[in-house]
Amino acid sequence: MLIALMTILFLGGSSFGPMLYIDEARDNAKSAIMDDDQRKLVRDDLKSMKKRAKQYAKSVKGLTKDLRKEFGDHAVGEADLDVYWDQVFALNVSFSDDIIDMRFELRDKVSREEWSALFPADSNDTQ
Amino acid sequence: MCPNDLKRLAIIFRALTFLLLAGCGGKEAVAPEDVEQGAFNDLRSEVIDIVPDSQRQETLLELVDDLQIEFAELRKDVVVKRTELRKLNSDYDATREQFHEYAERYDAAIKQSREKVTASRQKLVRETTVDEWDALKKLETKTMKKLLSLLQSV
Repeated sequence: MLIALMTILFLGGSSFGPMLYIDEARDNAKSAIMDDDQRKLVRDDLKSMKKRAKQYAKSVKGLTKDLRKEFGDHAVGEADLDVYWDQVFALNVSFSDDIIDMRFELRDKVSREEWSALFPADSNDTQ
Repeated sequence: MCPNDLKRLAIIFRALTFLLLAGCGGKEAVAPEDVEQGAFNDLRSEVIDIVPDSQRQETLLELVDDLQIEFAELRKDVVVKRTELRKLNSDYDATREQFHEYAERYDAAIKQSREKVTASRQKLVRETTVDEWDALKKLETKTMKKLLSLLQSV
Protein backbone atom coordinates (compact mmCIF):
# COMPACT_ATOMS: atom_id res chain seq x y z
CA MET A 1 0.00 0.00 0.00
CA LEU A 2 2.94 2.31 0.68
CA ILE A 3 4.10 1.61 -2.86
CA ALA A 4 0.64 2.35 -4.27
CA LEU A 5 0.61 5.62 -2.37
CA MET A 6 4.00 6.67 -3.75
CA THR A 7 2.99 5.63 -7.25
CA ILE A 8 -0.07 7.86 -7.13
CA LEU A 9 1.99 10.75 -5.82
CA PHE A 10 4.62 10.13 -8.49
CA LEU A 11 1.97 10.27 -11.23
CA GLY A 12 0.45 13.43 -9.75
CA GLY A 13 -2.83 11.98 -8.57
CA SER A 14 -5.59 10.69 -10.76
CA SER A 15 -5.39 10.70 -14.55
CA PHE A 16 -4.93 13.92 -16.56
CA GLY A 17 -7.83 16.32 -16.12
CA PRO A 18 -9.18 17.13 -19.58
CA MET A 19 -11.79 14.40 -19.79
CA LEU A 20 -13.96 17.41 -20.58
CA TYR A 21 -16.98 16.03 -18.79
CA ILE A 22 -17.85 13.92 -21.78
CA ASP A 23 -20.63 11.84 -20.25
CA GLU A 24 -22.26 14.95 -18.81
CA ALA A 25 -22.16 16.65 -22.21
CA ARG A 26 -23.67 13.59 -23.90
CA ASP A 27 -26.60 13.81 -21.47
CA ASN A 28 -26.91 17.57 -21.95
CA ALA A 29 -26.99 17.17 -25.75
CA LYS A 30 -30.61 16.01 -25.56
CA SER A 31 -31.77 19.43 -24.42
CA ALA A 32 -28.92 21.58 -25.76
CA ILE A 33 -29.10 20.67 -29.47
CA MET A 34 -32.54 20.80 -31.08
CA ASP A 35 -31.57 19.71 -34.59
CA ASP A 36 -31.35 15.90 -34.84
CA ASP A 37 -28.58 15.82 -37.46
CA GLN A 38 -26.47 18.35 -35.62
CA ARG A 39 -26.98 16.50 -32.34
CA LYS A 40 -25.78 13.29 -33.97
CA LEU A 41 -22.61 15.04 -35.15
CA VAL A 42 -22.00 16.39 -31.66
CA ARG A 43 -22.57 12.99 -30.08
CA ASP A 44 -20.21 11.35 -32.56
CA ASP A 45 -17.50 13.83 -31.58
CA LEU A 46 -18.12 13.20 -27.89
CA LYS A 47 -17.93 9.47 -28.54
CA SER A 48 -14.53 9.92 -30.21
CA MET A 49 -13.33 11.99 -27.27
CA LYS A 50 -14.45 9.31 -24.85
CA LYS A 51 -12.66 6.65 -26.89
CA ARG A 52 -9.43 8.66 -26.80
CA ALA A 53 -9.80 9.29 -23.06
CA LYS A 54 -10.30 5.56 -22.44
CA GLN A 55 -7.22 4.74 -24.54
CA TYR A 56 -5.19 7.19 -22.45
CA ALA A 57 -6.57 5.79 -19.18
CA LYS A 58 -5.64 2.26 -20.29
CA SER A 59 -2.06 3.35 -21.05
CA VAL A 60 -1.76 5.07 -17.67
CA LYS A 61 -3.10 1.96 -15.93
CA GLY A 62 -0.45 -0.22 -17.61
CA LEU A 63 2.28 2.23 -16.74
CA THR A 64 1.09 2.41 -13.13
CA LYS A 65 1.27 -1.36 -12.82
CA ASP A 66 4.88 -1.42 -14.08
CA LEU A 67 5.84 1.54 -11.95
CA ARG A 68 4.49 -0.06 -8.77
CA LYS A 69 6.70 -3.07 -9.43
CA GLU A 70 9.76 -0.84 -9.83
CA PHE A 71 8.92 1.23 -6.77
CA GLY A 72 8.67 -1.91 -4.69
CA ASP A 73 12.13 -3.17 -5.64
CA HIS A 74 14.64 -2.14 -2.98
CA ALA A 75 17.46 -2.17 -5.54
CA VAL A 76 15.85 0.18 -8.08
CA GLY A 77 17.46 3.62 -8.30
CA GLU A 78 16.44 7.09 -9.40
CA ALA A 79 17.66 6.66 -12.98
CA ASP A 80 15.45 3.59 -13.44
CA LEU A 81 12.42 5.61 -12.34
CA ASP A 82 13.26 8.41 -14.78
CA VAL A 83 12.37 6.05 -17.63
CA TYR A 84 8.80 5.98 -16.31
CA TRP A 85 8.71 9.73 -15.91
CA ASP A 86 9.55 10.12 -19.62
CA GLN A 87 6.69 7.77 -20.49
CA VAL A 88 4.24 9.64 -18.26
CA PHE A 89 5.22 12.93 -19.84
CA ALA A 90 4.90 11.57 -23.39
CA LEU A 91 1.46 10.11 -22.63
CA ASN A 92 0.19 13.37 -21.16
CA VAL A 93 1.48 15.53 -24.01
CA SER A 94 -0.01 13.24 -26.65
CA PHE A 95 -3.35 13.04 -24.87
CA SER A 96 -3.66 16.74 -24.13
CA ASP A 97 -2.77 17.66 -27.74
CA ASP A 98 -5.40 15.28 -29.11
CA ILE A 99 -8.17 16.17 -26.68
CA ILE A 100 -7.63 19.92 -27.16
CA ASP A 101 -7.88 19.47 -30.96
CA MET A 102 -11.07 17.45 -30.53
CA ARG A 103 -12.51 20.04 -28.16
CA PHE A 104 -12.08 22.78 -30.77
CA GLU A 105 -13.50 20.60 -33.57
CA LEU A 106 -16.59 20.10 -31.43
CA ARG A 107 -16.87 23.76 -30.53
CA ASP A 108 -16.90 24.73 -34.21
CA LYS A 109 -20.05 22.65 -34.69
CA VAL A 110 -22.20 24.49 -32.14
CA SER A 111 -23.32 28.00 -31.25
CA ARG A 112 -22.25 29.89 -28.13
CA GLU A 113 -25.62 29.13 -26.46
CA GLU A 114 -25.47 25.44 -27.33
CA TRP A 115 -21.93 25.23 -25.94
CA SER A 116 -23.03 26.78 -22.63
CA ALA A 117 -25.84 24.23 -22.39
CA LEU A 118 -23.48 21.35 -23.19
CA PHE A 119 -20.75 22.42 -20.77
CA PRO A 120 -22.20 24.51 -17.93
CA ALA A 121 -19.63 26.33 -15.81
CA ASP A 122 -21.51 26.06 -12.56
CA SER A 123 -21.84 22.29 -12.03
CA ASN A 124 -20.75 21.05 -8.63
CA ASP A 125 -17.27 19.55 -8.94
CA THR A 126 -16.08 19.50 -5.40
CA GLN A 127 -14.94 16.21 -3.94
CA MET B 1 7.72 2.08 29.35
CA CYS B 2 10.10 2.22 26.35
CA PRO B 3 10.16 5.10 23.80
CA ASN B 4 8.41 2.92 21.22
CA ASP B 5 5.50 2.36 23.60
CA LEU B 6 5.19 6.11 24.13
CA LYS B 7 5.18 6.70 20.38
CA ARG B 8 2.53 4.02 19.93
CA LEU B 9 0.42 5.58 22.68
CA ALA B 10 0.64 8.98 21.00
CA ILE B 11 -0.48 7.45 17.71
CA ILE B 12 -3.31 5.51 19.38
CA PHE B 13 -4.47 8.70 21.11
CA ARG B 14 -4.54 10.52 17.77
CA ALA B 15 -6.40 7.60 16.19
CA LEU B 16 -8.98 7.58 19.00
CA THR B 17 -9.52 11.31 18.61
CA PHE B 18 -9.99 10.75 14.88
CA LEU B 19 -12.52 7.96 15.52
CA LEU B 20 -14.44 10.04 18.06
CA LEU B 21 -14.61 13.01 15.72
CA ALA B 22 -15.65 10.78 12.82
CA GLY B 23 -18.33 9.15 14.98
CA CYS B 24 -19.81 12.50 15.97
CA GLY B 25 -20.48 13.36 12.35
CA GLY B 26 -22.40 10.20 11.45
CA LYS B 27 -21.35 7.25 9.35
CA GLU B 28 -20.83 9.14 6.09
CA ALA B 29 -19.38 12.32 7.54
CA VAL B 30 -15.69 11.34 7.65
CA ALA B 31 -13.79 14.23 6.13
CA PRO B 32 -10.95 13.54 3.66
CA GLU B 33 -8.52 15.08 6.16
CA ASP B 34 -9.60 12.52 8.78
CA VAL B 35 -9.20 9.62 6.35
CA GLU B 36 -5.70 10.90 5.62
CA GLN B 37 -4.83 11.22 9.29
CA GLY B 38 -6.05 7.69 10.07
CA ALA B 39 -4.14 6.14 7.19
CA PHE B 40 -0.88 7.90 7.94
CA ASN B 41 -1.20 7.04 11.63
CA ASP B 42 -1.45 3.38 10.57
CA LEU B 43 1.70 3.83 8.54
CA ARG B 44 3.55 5.41 11.49
CA SER B 45 2.54 2.51 13.75
CA GLU B 46 3.87 0.04 11.19
CA VAL B 47 7.16 1.90 10.89
CA ILE B 48 7.59 1.73 14.67
CA ASP B 49 6.81 -2.01 14.67
CA ILE B 50 9.00 -2.88 11.68
CA VAL B 51 12.09 -0.72 12.22
CA PRO B 52 13.65 -1.31 15.67
CA ASP B 53 16.52 1.15 15.42
CA SER B 54 15.38 4.41 17.01
CA GLN B 55 17.52 6.73 14.88
CA ARG B 56 16.37 5.24 11.57
CA GLN B 57 12.84 5.05 12.92
CA GLU B 58 12.88 8.80 13.60
CA THR B 59 14.08 9.54 10.06
CA LEU B 60 11.40 7.28 8.58
CA LEU B 61 8.66 8.93 10.65
CA GLU B 62 9.79 12.31 9.33
CA LEU B 63 9.50 10.90 5.80
CA VAL B 64 5.96 9.72 6.55
CA ASP B 65 5.18 13.29 7.68
CA ASP B 66 6.55 14.56 4.35
CA LEU B 67 4.44 12.07 2.39
CA GLN B 68 1.34 13.11 4.32
CA ILE B 69 1.94 16.78 3.50
CA GLU B 70 2.56 15.91 -0.15
CA PHE B 71 -0.62 13.84 -0.30
CA ALA B 72 -2.77 16.61 1.25
CA GLU B 73 -1.36 19.20 -1.14
CA LEU B 74 -1.94 16.97 -4.14
CA ARG B 75 -5.56 16.25 -3.19
CA LYS B 76 -6.34 19.95 -2.83
CA ASP B 77 -4.46 20.77 -6.04
CA VAL B 78 -6.41 18.19 -8.09
CA VAL B 79 -9.74 19.71 -6.96
CA VAL B 80 -8.55 23.25 -7.79
CA LYS B 81 -7.29 22.18 -11.23
CA ARG B 82 -10.50 20.34 -12.04
CA THR B 83 -12.59 23.41 -11.18
CA GLU B 84 -10.26 25.57 -13.26
CA LEU B 85 -10.57 23.21 -16.22
CA ARG B 86 -14.35 23.18 -16.07
CA LYS B 87 -14.41 26.98 -16.12
CA LEU B 88 -11.95 27.16 -19.01
CA ASN B 89 -13.76 24.52 -21.05
CA SER B 90 -17.13 26.19 -20.55
CA ASP B 91 -15.74 29.42 -22.04
CA TYR B 92 -16.72 29.41 -25.72
CA ASP B 93 -14.01 32.00 -26.45
CA ALA B 94 -11.17 30.21 -24.65
CA THR B 95 -8.12 29.88 -26.91
CA ARG B 96 -5.89 26.90 -27.70
CA GLU B 97 -3.05 28.75 -25.99
CA GLN B 98 -5.04 28.87 -22.75
CA PHE B 99 -5.55 25.09 -22.87
CA HIS B 100 -1.91 24.41 -23.66
CA GLU B 101 -0.84 26.71 -20.84
CA TYR B 102 -3.16 24.75 -18.49
CA ALA B 103 -1.71 21.41 -19.66
CA GLU B 104 1.85 22.68 -19.22
CA ARG B 105 1.12 23.79 -15.66
CA TYR B 106 -0.45 20.39 -14.99
CA ASP B 107 2.69 18.61 -16.21
CA ALA B 108 4.94 20.97 -14.23
CA ALA B 109 2.99 20.09 -11.05
CA ILE B 110 3.40 16.37 -11.77
CA LYS B 111 7.11 16.88 -12.32
CA GLN B 112 7.45 18.64 -8.98
CA SER B 113 5.51 15.88 -7.23
CA ARG B 114 7.60 13.23 -8.97
CA GLU B 115 10.84 14.80 -7.78
CA LYS B 116 9.67 14.97 -4.17
CA VAL B 117 8.32 11.41 -4.15
CA THR B 118 11.42 9.98 -5.81
CA ALA B 119 13.59 11.69 -3.20
CA SER B 120 11.39 10.37 -0.37
CA ARG B 121 11.50 6.86 -1.81
CA GLN B 122 15.28 6.94 -2.11
CA LYS B 123 15.55 8.03 1.54
CA LEU B 124 13.13 5.27 2.61
CA VAL B 125 15.24 2.71 0.74
CA ARG B 126 18.46 4.01 2.29
CA GLU B 127 17.03 3.89 5.82
CA THR B 128 15.61 0.36 5.59
CA THR B 129 17.01 -3.11 5.13
CA VAL B 130 15.62 -5.29 2.36
CA ASP B 131 13.50 -7.21 4.92
CA GLU B 132 12.15 -4.02 6.51
CA TRP B 133 11.37 -2.58 3.08
CA ASP B 134 9.51 -5.75 2.11
CA ALA B 135 7.51 -5.62 5.35
CA LEU B 136 6.57 -1.96 4.79
CA LYS B 137 5.69 -2.74 1.19
CA LYS B 138 3.16 -5.35 2.28
CA LEU B 139 1.43 -2.97 4.66
CA GLU B 140 -2.26 -2.94 3.81
CA THR B 141 -4.90 -1.53 6.11
CA LYS B 142 -8.50 -0.49 5.60
CA THR B 143 -7.64 3.15 6.20
CA MET B 144 -4.81 3.03 3.66
CA LYS B 145 -7.22 1.60 1.09
CA LYS B 146 -9.66 4.42 1.84
CA LEU B 147 -6.84 6.91 1.43
CA LEU B 148 -6.00 5.68 -2.06
CA SER B 149 -9.67 5.60 -3.06
CA LEU B 150 -9.92 9.19 -1.90
CA LEU B 151 -7.37 10.43 -4.38
CA GLN B 152 -8.35 8.13 -7.22
CA SER B 153 -11.93 9.36 -6.99
CA VAL B 154 -10.94 13.03 -7.31
